[in-house]
Amino acid sequence: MIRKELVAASAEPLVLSLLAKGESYGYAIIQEVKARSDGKLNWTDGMLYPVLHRMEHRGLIKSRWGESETGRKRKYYSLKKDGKAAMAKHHEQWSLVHAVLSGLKKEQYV
Amino acid sequence: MSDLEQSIAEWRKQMLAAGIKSPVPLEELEIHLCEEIERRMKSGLDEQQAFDFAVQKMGATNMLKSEFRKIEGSFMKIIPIFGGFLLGVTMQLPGSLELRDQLVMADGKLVLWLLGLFLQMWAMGSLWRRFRPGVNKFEFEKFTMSFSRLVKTGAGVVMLLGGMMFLIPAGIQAGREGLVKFDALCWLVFGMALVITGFVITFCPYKKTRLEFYV
Repeated sequence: MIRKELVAASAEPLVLSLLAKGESYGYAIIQEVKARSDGKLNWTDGMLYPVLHRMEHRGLIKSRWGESETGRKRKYYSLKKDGKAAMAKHHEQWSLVHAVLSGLKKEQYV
Repeated sequence: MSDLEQSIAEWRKQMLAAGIKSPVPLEELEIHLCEEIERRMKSGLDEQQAFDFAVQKMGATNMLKSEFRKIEGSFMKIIPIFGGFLLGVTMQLPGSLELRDQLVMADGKLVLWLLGLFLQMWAMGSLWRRFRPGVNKFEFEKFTMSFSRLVKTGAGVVMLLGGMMFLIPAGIQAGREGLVKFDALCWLVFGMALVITGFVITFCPYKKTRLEFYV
């Protein structure tokens, strides 16, 4: 299981990156993250919504009410311009951390 | 009403009782709950099992409440800024009116005028920092540590020293004469405002990384 600190820190970049593919809704976001991480990133479902609302409040994403194929009401989220910029920044920072960590790991096996 | 509908209604009541009163988050959470129940039932669980599983996955009510309250809290933080701005205008107004008649403001009016100006500048600065276009508040608070911290701390120290400079003479005067003159009182208030602001800016903890989003 991934540490809660890492789960918390990765929530925003993951949501932004998923929304960069197209608009989505809370349940689908959780399912996709779970599937892509082979179930290792298992978010507490309800906790996603405060994160989404906070990101919306900061102008990174926007939302609209829509309907599912079965007629159920859904709130769809999509990326805004500021969200794209924030995502790029996240990618840059996470890539840097990954590169440093990989370099250090490689050195251990040399 | 079916058992499942009754269970969902009961869950909604619990959420309302816990303080999640805004209709949008509650509706969203309920839709999510229903999607999860539907999915679990398709995978073979009965209604009650699916409901229990979905509720457990949703997370503890008090945690959800505290998370949503943080979003509301960010709005609440703006209220003191507006309050400061209004107070600043109120304090500045008499001095400004006086300035129309007298080019040089005497006694405590100048201090009140300065205090008013200071409060307005602070309020406007705070609003600008929060709402200027393109600002990523989260990034600003979290990652740009060194330079902004240096500037903030420097400003805080200057305010602290400035405040002490105004406070001490007023205090000495009050101690010597056994009373506080109006102008000295004004300087005292101004000094205290500077000291408090300087103290808050210099010593308040910087916002921590948000760690609430966990399993």
